[in-house]
Amino acid sequence: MDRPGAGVLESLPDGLPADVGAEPFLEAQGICKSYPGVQALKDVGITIRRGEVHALVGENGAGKSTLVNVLAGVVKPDAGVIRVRGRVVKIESPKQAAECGIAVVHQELSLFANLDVATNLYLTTLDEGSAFVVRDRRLRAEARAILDQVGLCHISPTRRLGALTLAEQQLVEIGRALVKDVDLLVLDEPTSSLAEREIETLFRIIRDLKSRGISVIFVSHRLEEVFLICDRVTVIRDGMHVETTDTGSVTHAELVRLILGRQLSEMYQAPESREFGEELLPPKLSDVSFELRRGEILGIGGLLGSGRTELVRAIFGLAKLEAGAFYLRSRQTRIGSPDQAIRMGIGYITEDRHREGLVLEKPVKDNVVMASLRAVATTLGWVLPSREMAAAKRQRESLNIVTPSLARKVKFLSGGNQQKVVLGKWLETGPEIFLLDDPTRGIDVGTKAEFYRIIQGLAGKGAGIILISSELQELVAICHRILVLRTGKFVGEFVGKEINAADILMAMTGGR
Amino acid sequence: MNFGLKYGIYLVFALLCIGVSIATPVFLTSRNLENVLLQTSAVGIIAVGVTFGIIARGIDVSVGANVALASAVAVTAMKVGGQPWWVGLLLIFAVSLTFGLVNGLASAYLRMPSFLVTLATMTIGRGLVLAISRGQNYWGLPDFYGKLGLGSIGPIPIVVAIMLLAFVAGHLVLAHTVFGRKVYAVGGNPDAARVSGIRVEQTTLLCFVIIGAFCGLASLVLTARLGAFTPSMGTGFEFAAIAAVVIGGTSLVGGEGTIGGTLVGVLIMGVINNALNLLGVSVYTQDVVRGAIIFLAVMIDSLRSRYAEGLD
Repeated sequence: MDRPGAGVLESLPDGLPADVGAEPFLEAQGICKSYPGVQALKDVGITIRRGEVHALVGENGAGKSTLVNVLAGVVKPDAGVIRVRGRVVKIESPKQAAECGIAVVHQELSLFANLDVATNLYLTTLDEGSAFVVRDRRLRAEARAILDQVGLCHISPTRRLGALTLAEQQLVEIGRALVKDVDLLVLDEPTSSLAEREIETLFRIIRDLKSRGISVIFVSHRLEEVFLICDRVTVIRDGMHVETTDTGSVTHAELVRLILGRQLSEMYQAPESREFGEELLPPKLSDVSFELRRGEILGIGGLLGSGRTELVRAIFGLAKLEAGAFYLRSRQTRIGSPDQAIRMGIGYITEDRHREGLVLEKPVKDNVVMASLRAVATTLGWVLPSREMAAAKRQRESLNIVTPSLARKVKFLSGGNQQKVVLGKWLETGPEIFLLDDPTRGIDVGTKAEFYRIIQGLAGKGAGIILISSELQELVAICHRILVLRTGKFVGEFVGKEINAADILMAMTGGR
Repeated sequence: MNFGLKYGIYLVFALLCIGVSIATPVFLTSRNLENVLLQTSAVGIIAVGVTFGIIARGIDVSVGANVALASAVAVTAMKVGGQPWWVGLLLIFAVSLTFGLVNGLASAYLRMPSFLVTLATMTIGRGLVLAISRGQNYWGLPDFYGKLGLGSIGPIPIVVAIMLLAFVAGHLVLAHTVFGRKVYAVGGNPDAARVSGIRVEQTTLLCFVIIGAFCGLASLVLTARLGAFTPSMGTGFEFAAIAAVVIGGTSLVGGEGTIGGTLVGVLIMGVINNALNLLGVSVYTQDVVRGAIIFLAVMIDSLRSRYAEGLD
């Protein structure tokens, strides 16, 4: 592929021959972008060296995604210059970005659920080359190679993409970016749906790219990963560039302070040891039995495919059980549908808020009351706008939801605030049991801390909480007890002082 | 600019009326305006029901056949079976509600695509109309129908009053009740609605039954106005109703739309039809004009929503 600047080495201004490692692959300067009412980027610059792994961090709404979209050709900046290998380029479409050697894996998946994996991987390249007929066998073989590279050895290229889990789909999306030769790979929150082992695979891929001189931009909220894999980090706050520094020269706490612009005294509060109340929920599945007590935060750890989400969906009436029983407050019950679950006092924050948590085109207040419509209406079903508004205001205040108006369509809120709306929706139903599936996925540091406080507050008031998370740190920090599942079976339980990341990881991965 | 996006159709309607009344002075006479309302009454009533369906991501092309079948059964029972007027009335609604129920059960619980389901029921329905009526027209219905179709309450024809009541009822339910919220939720994101405890299948089913109910009302009104049954009645109603709903701002992807918008859509269609007649446009050309206007309306709607997306 012919790309601008390919094969051209520019001299540095002071006349020394260029050092391949030191000459930046990409330089962006003075990037500005504003939308009606908000300036997303103000004079932002970033320099990416060849073969470096460069982190881009900042709160939700700080401008990271806008910057990524500028580099991806999805958004046209109002001002600014981008240089690739020293030559000024115009990146005004994804195709032009690809011609510059930039590949982007966006946070929201852009795959086709109705097509198979192989086609998804190669869809963007199918119109290149002279072949009119798609060579199925070759396509599948090449797809096989890519799938193995991203750690999806157990997935067949002919599988329908929609049948894969969110984590598997995210790995396919990353694989798609690797199909073509790439000089800069931009990963926007790549680990948000991945568990430890998949993250390790991803890091292996990144290190491999690095050794081949390919640069990586790593956008993430997970700072511990930033320190593990990235060479340098750039902090964006309120649309402006705050700092770029080596990851070796800054501490975690300092980085957090740079991101927030203020001190965060404690991210997690250590859970107080407490006497737990009566048994709330001991479901017995054929392989999995457990109990949940009032006031307890029970974590469920496990890798992709371990059955965590299926378990929780079964509790909520969204999945059918072949065998098994639920006992709620010591009485056997059947939970056949979500509305039954809600009436029994169970609330469920799903792992994908856009797909199952929110009606994006509807305003905040509509979403807040969606699971408790009867409560804001008369007995005959007439909705009372005053009650609806009161509910929305109540949740906005108690959860600190940032939105210019409660009538604003929820799709315009930042990820963290959207998730708060989802939480608010469930709080309105007054549940005693909360099922939280990766509730802080794709949420910024500040909002995460708020969520942990809220979750612990709920437990403190007597609710029972089941928390699924791919972030081991999260589980370890706030759960009173952790169950580990592997391939659908219960393989370990850790209580109180027994909880530590290493042992849990061992149990999750089969103690290799 | 937002104001323009939201209220654009009202402006279009106003301009349309002004334009037509300049083109022909007959337009603004009370006789003619009453005529417009009478002519659009059946389709208008159907459009209220269809609004519910489209917001919930369903589509129903069998409404015309529904109207004809309800009338066929009722009129045949009265003219051939000698049944009294109230049996005919009950039959109209029995048939139309059952029709809606079948459409709803197939679309919601059997998960068949509603477009294909209603295409099939439309064909079956039309076939049944011919089978039951043997292709014959019937006229000379009991007095009740004549009074309903031609009578007035004060200055307002009963038929127009029924249509307005239909719109008011539809609006109240859609905009102000729990059920209405469920319809919007199911149409906006069925997965999220399900997780929020809304019974998606039940809501969808009810929307199709509602369409059936409004078809029954439309069949009654049309039969009463014509004072007769003819096998071809209701032809083209599905097209007119869906077009009116879409012109009125209800999106075909679901989750958005209002009864008020549908009312304007119905009136716009009605005024256009009326204008074409008043201006003496040949019947054949009328279809071309109507189709072109629908095309324009949907195109504008599509551009409008894409522009609105880009704004934020």
